[in-house]
Amino acid sequence: MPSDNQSPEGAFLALRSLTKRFDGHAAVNGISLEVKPHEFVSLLGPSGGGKTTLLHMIAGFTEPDAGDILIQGESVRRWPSHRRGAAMVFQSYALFPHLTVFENVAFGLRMRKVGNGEVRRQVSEALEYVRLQGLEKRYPRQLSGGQQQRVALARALILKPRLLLLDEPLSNLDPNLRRELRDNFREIHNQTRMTTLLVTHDIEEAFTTSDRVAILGNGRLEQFDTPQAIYTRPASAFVARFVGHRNIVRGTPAQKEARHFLEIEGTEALLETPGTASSYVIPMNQVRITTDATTPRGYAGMSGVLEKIEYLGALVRFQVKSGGATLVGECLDHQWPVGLQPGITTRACWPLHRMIDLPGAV
Amino acid sequence: MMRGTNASTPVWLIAWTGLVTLFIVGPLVCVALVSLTPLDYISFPQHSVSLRWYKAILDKPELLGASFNSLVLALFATAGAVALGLPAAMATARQAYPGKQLIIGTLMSPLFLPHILSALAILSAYSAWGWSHQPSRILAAHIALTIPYVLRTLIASLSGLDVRQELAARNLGASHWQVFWRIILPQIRPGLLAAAIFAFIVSFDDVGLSIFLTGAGYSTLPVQLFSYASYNSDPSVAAISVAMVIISFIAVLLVERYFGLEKLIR
Repeated sequence: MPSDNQSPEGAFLALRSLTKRFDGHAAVNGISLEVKPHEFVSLLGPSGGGKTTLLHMIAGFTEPDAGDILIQGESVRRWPSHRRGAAMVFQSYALFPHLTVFENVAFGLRMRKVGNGEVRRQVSEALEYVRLQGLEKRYPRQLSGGQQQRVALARALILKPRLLLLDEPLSNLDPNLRRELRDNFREIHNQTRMTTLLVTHDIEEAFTTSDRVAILGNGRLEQFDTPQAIYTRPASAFVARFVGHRNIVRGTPAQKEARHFLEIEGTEALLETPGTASSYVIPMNQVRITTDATTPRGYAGMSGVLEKIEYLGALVRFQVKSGGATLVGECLDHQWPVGLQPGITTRACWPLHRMIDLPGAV
Repeated sequence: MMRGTNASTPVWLIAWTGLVTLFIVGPLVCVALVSLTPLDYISFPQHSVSLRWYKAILDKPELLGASFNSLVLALFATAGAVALGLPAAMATARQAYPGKQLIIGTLMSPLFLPHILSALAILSAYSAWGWSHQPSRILAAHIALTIPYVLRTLIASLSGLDVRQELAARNLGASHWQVFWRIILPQIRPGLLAAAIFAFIVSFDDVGLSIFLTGAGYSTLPVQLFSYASYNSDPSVAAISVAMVIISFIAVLLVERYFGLEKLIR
């Protein structure tokens, strides 16, 4: 965790070197992370990255092998799930199919032995909040996916938790509904200001909803930062690839007749100052395609065959292949040079100062 | 739910279905007809029907006693098999534990072992332990015999449950016990009922195992029937068979009426 120097008291949720092994394999490997009050944080990563295990440890379903979990400064590691005040919405919702919508939402209150009148009052309030009034007597199977999800949300919110945990709640829905419900989560968060953790493998979902995103890979925390910082300053090649960067290249400094160059995939770019050996990301939207033979000052360029042109609507995506390297670029549809066809030899160039240096990756 | 045959059902399929149905129901019909004969030997009723062989059952106290024994035995065996099989099925369907395959294999073994082998093993174990109380001997054996049916049905029923429902319930404050009563049990009720019916019928019907474990003082209906039919060939055997079918049928109907089989299985 790079720059965040919050004191443990200031953190709403703090994970301390949390570790969980299954059959000797570390599903979660020494993860430390601090979430501020009212923050919406996504745990993002490929499946098998450890994000659901992490969430289950916070919820109290899985006992960590090592490390600690603090909520509002208090260690909850040994507490049973329901005492932590961390309510969970599950993937596929895990509604109780034999109970009506009313009884599903009322379940938590029933467990607390709340009186009937009070249960009725609170349930109808909760159903109103998720706009499901009138469906009290339905069974979960009689509801649409979106409605089921709102029942799950009402069931979780009725106990007024201090932390909301969402475990891939949108992964079973079709894309349009996903977008709508995703906005719904953010809206509810804006109203309740409840600290929220969302597990997802969908970058767009994480980036559009979250204040900060934690990227998990192989049980480790790769990066924890704002969506913009993650995209523009990925901390590792893993993060860069995961958030969609496709041009990750090696750069080697060279010197000829007192002039500094950076060798990238067989081409040389002139530098003002000595370069450093590193891996670099060339953002796709920085790659220009031209038929000129020269490279402008401050740019690096490579000649190659235009291999592929993909029309994506607002964007055109193209691939230039030069020797062993393939560079992928994107430009706005109306900026695409007319007349370029696959197979011709072109030149792809990009501004040197837009290249992202990947720390650690060599 | 089956909807009526549609126009494209091939003729051979209809014919085959008819044959299979005949194969299953035919003997029952024959037995039912034989039980109504007025004659002294096994024959189809020719000119008139009579209920004299049903009345004859009532004159055979050893059969009535055995029927009572069978009923009580089947009820207790069912209760025992469910009480032992449910926890085993829950552990098996929901988590991994050491020796799982071995334990399940052992519990299921009465299904694969020939009854005569099980019976001889059980008998020698009983005599080695000096266990001679006949009803409890046979009850223990019947529980072992019926557990595989309970286990298989309940494991199937339980593995259809989403484990996350249990996590959700715990997250909302339910204890393990409340999770069982409020979340698991209501959902496996149809499976539980099916398991109990299986266990009851298997126990109520068993000859293979029971014949070794019954004796002068205590016998079950199938065993009595078997020995009666071995030495007599009058139509009362047919009448008793029909009576047994009717009893099973009534049992299923009662279950259907009070528990709503159809509604639960849905």
